[in-house]
Amino acid sequence: MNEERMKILDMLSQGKISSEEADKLLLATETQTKQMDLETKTSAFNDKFLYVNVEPKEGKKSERVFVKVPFALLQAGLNIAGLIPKEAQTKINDTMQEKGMSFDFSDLKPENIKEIMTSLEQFTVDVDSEDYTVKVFCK
Amino acid sequence: MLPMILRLRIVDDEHKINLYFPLIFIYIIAIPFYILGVIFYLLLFLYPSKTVKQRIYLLIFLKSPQIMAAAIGTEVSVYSDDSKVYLYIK
Repeated sequence: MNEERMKILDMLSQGKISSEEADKLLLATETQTKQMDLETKTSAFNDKFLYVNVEPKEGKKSERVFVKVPFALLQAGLNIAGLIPKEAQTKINDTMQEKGMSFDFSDLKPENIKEIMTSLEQFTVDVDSEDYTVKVFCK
Repeated sequence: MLPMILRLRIVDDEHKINLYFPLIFIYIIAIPFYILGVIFYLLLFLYPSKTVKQRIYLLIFLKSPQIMAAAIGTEVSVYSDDSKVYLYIK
């Protein structure tokens, strides 16, 4: 992409294009670069999974739970959640706030989703209680 | 690519189920509804300002194959003293 920017600047310096045209071309190049970065990050998430393990301690009666969810499913869910109409989003936001979770659906934009997925890669939870241990991690 | 096999295993004192369900049968049944959904979605564009909500909900339905495709590899197992439940989407 730097080569394309240099070509555009060379053409501008040689007078082959005007400064307005150069500005439009540079903007198009930046947009293309951002799109390629997003696609690279998206494909990198395809092989990752979110794991949830609940293991009972020895001698304790508790269920053993194992959940493995592909990142792609989380991403698809977040993408579709962004399509929900504003009236429905408001109702969902209000219900979640009543339950003690402040969450705003309008914050779910494509660039935010990528940040969420990137942050989830480093997300780990370890809970150690008397009866069971809970581990949540991404791999 | 849509998932093709749903593996379900349930074992308890009374039941023992080990099921490999081919999801292609669900897709074959769903194809006519999906085609109808696409046709209705296109028809709703005849009245774009009056059918915004309907188009959004229909679009969510039409995007459901994306979620199905993304679900490949999902695994859920719950084991207790009395029962075992295992679900795998492949």
